[in-house]
Amino acid sequence: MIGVARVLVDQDMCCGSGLCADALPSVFDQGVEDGVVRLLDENPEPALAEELRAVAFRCPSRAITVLD
Amino acid sequence: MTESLLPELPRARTHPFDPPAEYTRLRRDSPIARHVWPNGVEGWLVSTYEEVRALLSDPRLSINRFQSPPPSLAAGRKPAVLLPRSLVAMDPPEHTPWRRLIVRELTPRWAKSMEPRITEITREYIDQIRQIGPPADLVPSLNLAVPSRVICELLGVPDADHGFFQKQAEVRSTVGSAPEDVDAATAALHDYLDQLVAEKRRTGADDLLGRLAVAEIDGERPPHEIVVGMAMLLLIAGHETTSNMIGLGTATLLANRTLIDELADTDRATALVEEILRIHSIVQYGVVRRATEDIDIAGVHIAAGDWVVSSLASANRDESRYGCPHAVDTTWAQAPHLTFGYGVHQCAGQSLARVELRVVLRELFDAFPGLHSTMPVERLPYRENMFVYGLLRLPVTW
Repeated sequence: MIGVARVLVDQDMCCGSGLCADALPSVFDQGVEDGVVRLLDENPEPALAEELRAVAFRCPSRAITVLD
Repeated sequence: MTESLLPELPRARTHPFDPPAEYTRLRRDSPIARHVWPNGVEGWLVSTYEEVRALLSDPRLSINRFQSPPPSLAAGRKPAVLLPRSLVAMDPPEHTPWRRLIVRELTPRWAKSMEPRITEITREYIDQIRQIGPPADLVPSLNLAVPSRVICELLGVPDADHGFFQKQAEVRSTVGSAPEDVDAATAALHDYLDQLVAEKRRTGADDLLGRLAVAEIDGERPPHEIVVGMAMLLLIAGHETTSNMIGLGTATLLANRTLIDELADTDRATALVEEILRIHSIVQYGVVRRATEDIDIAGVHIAAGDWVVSSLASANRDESRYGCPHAVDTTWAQAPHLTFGYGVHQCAGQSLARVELRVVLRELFDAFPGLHSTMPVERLPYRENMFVYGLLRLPVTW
C-alpha cells in the first residue's frame, strides 16, 4: 500500500478510549477536558499506513477514517 | 410461562479456560441464533467476531434493559438494593457528555503514569502474603486487594476508610455471601459514596469525584444521585472484573510456565496480557442489548424489541480471526480482542486494567518464581454460573 494516507476523525462519534493516541501519538492526541480525539497530523508518513488502518479498526466508536 | 422450544444458552465447559464447545458449532452454522435463557426469556445469541463487533457498535441497539426482564441466568432472587443510574444505563446522546467526564480521567496516558503507584501497592500486599507464609489464597489477599485499593485512591477515599470500603466491596463480589449481606454492603457503599460525593463537592476536591461533582453538562451541574451512581460503577466495574482476570491470568501462567518469562519485558508482557484478556473474556454469558428498530444482519431479521446478547467469549475464539484461537499466542499480530466490549460502551477502565494485570502478574512471579497452585488448575474452583467468570479461590504455595 503506497501513498500518503489521509486521516479523518469524527469528534462527535469519539467515545474517548484514547487507544489511537496511545498507539500513534504523532498522529492522534486526546483532549484533556473531554478525552476526545485530536488529529495532530492529517497526512501521516506512508510508513504508518498499515498501523493507521489497525488503529482505525480498533477504534470502538469507528471515529477514524483512513483514506487511501 | 410457556415452555420455550428454542435451544438453551450453551453453558457446559469442557475445560475451565475454554467457553462451551457448542459455540464452535454456532460460529460455523448459526452466528446469530434464537436461544432461551435460564430465566425463560428468549433472545438472539451472537457468536461471531464480525457480527458481535457490528452489533455492539450499532446505534439501533439500546443498553436500557430496565423496562422488562432481560435474558439472564436467573440465579435466584433479585437484589433488593439497586444501583443508581450510571453510564451502563444510558444511550447516546445522554451517554456522551457523561462518558467524556469519565474517560478524560482514565486515559491510557494516565494509566501508564499510575504504574509506579500500582507497583508499590502490589508489593505491599505481596509482602503481607510472604510474611504470613504459604499456603495463601490469592483471591482476597492480592487479586481483589490491589484493584480495590487502586479504585479507593482513584475515587479519593480517605486512607482511614479503605478497610471499610474494601470489606464491603469484598462481600459484594464474594459468591458465597448471603443475599441480605450483599444488599447491606450495597447500601453501605451507596451511603458512604453519597456522603463522599457531597463532601468532595463542598470542599472542591481536586480528584475524580470532586471534578465530576462540579462538572457541567449543558450548563448544568450533574444530578448528585448520578454522580453517586458513577462512583458505584467505577467501584464495581473497576475491581471485580480486574481481580477475576488477575486470577485467571495467574492460573494460565501456572499451567503454561514458559509464558512466565514474557513478564520480564514490558512489550512482551503487554502482548501476553492481551492474550490473557482474549482467552478468558470473563463476561462469560455475553453483553445484553435491546433492539430499538428492526435490524437485518447476516441473513437474520432482528425485530424492534428483541433482546440481542453478544458473546464476547465466543467472538474472541472466532476461527476466521485467530490462527490458533484456543491457545495463548503472543508471537503474531492478532485481531483486537473484544473482552472490553466494543462500541461507545467499551470498558472505560481498560487502560487501567491492562496496567494492573501486567504489574500484578509481573510482581507476583518475580516475588515467587516457584509459585504453584495446591491443586491442578483444572480442578480449581471456578465462578460457574456467574456473570463475571473467574476463580472462587486460588490456593497457592511457593
